Amino acid sequence: MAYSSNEMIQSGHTVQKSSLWKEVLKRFLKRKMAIAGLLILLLVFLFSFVGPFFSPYMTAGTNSQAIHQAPNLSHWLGTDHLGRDVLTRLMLAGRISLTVGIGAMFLAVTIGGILGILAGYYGGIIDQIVMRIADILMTLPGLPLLFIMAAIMSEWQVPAEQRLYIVMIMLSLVNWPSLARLIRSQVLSLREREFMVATEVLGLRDKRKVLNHLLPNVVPLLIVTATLSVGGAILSESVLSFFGLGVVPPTASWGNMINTANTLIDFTNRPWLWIPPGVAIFITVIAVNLLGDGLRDSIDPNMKGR
Amino acid sequence: MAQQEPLLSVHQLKAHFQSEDGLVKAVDGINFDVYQGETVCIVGESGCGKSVTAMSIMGLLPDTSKVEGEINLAGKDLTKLSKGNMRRIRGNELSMIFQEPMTSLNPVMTIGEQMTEVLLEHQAISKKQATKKSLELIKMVGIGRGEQIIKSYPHQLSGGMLQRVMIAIALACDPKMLIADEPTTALDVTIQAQVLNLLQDLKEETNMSMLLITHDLGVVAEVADRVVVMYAGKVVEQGTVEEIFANPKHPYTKGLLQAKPVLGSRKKKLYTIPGQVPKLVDLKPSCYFADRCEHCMKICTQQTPELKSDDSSEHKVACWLYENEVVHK
Repeated sequence: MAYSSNEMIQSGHTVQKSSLWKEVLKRFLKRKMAIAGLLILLLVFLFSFVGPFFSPYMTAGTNSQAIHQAPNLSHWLGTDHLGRDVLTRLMLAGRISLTVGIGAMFLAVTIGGILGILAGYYGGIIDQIVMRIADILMTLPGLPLLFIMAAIMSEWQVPAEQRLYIVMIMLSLVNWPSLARLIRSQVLSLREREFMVATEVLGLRDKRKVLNHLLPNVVPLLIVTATLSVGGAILSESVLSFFGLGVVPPTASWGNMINTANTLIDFTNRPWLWIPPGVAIFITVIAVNLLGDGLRDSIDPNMKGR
Repeated sequence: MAQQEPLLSVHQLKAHFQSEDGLVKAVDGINFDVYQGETVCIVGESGCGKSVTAMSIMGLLPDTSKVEGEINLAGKDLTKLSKGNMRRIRGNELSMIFQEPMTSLNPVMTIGEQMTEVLLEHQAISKKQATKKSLELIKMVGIGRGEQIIKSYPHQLSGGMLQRVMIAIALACDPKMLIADEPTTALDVTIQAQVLNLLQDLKEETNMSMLLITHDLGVVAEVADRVVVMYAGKVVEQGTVEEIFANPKHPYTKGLLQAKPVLGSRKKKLYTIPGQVPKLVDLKPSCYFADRCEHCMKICTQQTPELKSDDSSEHKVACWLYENEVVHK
């Protein structure tokens, strides 16, 4: 493929269907940092989702014989005050944190994407309603809002295993407005482009115009912001869980594992309880951001040397 | 050709925009007809309402504009149609091609997807049939290797090819009427001629009518049957292409023809019409061309001349020079 496909068509050679995504992949593979981010993320996923199967402490639960052990050969990262293996718990917590992060991102992107496209495309009254609601949500500071919602959730005594899903919904409620705004602005500029006028001239109905013409043009932006927002969602979940308002024990999450640092004795004497989850959050969020940045650089059509 | 009913009849069409300075009369009461199988060219310099005319026929002007008058296409008044009915006509009976083929196609969809889409929208056919029809259309506009073309993206094709694709898309549903808004302006000269010939051939093959908007008199001479000369939102002269070129009447038309470079004659300086198109805000009743006209008379600055012919021919002009009674008074 030494020739550009354009030359190939004109010079009469056969050209294979070259997809835009192939070009994106090509550019992506050139970005070392992004690849590093992707690899780290893969490792984190393997660590969290496959790792526990190799742990001898999966079924052990609490063990009063082995509380507060420092890292040793049988417990690589020590044990906590109930004698649970910290490494195993770290892996299980990773499952929760990643699930919440990705789930919250999916919800937020779906809500924000749909509302943003509708508001941008139809304008007028729909735009006003959607964007004013978004504005109101954006004027409320996110963290206190999350705290209040979480407090209500605690008041209603939501069972521990369901809190995970409620945290996802809460996070997406706080996050969709900025996404909707971004998508709307993109759609506003796309709507005035000549090819959109052309679809009007060809008498296409709205469904086709939105799904076939607008959406594929917004997808790159959606992918990038979605990726970057995973990091934010993991952080927010950790913050909530750290304060005991998100995912609560016995379900482990990186946030509520760091919570042990609240106790002075644990903080000073047992760093193996709170350093590993902190490092896990740090690495995951950095990796997500590296991946997101790399994706943006390789997808962004403005960077394309056409 | 003039005996039958016109396919497209524009009657007293006005398109006004409210601006901060006042009412802009971009198109101000124009009339013209296009008959079956005929090519009508609208000529004029920038800002005299050519494109707005095309946009108002297509019903593409924003809601903030005021469009009045009648636009009859095959017996239907387009200005009175509902949005849904108008959508059914667009791309189906009435189609349009644009100046910029590079930006008129969606960059993230393949050519094939964009071609079949129109067919699927307006005709009850399957996806397979639509693809087959697309291949035929690509062949019809003179591009080889259709199978490759429908799989490629717009940025992989040249401007000339894209304009051919645009034409293929516009003609996909066999429209009765094609509006071409400066279809060759963005193309280089050799491709221009090819695209014009293609349009001409296809027009003859399908017996559709064409409304060609251009400022290029070379294009007009090549393809037009009749010519409508517009100036400042009004029609100043209209007639068959032979009449306009052989015997232009309005000083503006004469100026346009003089300002055209002629191959083989090397003049020191190309003729230009002095001045520019007046601001279209709050024009007083007068001939709008008066302050640029070398034959300007007193009446030209006081009254608006009407578009009429001095004999019964189709050659009409809006100029006081040809209003005998007034001149001789």
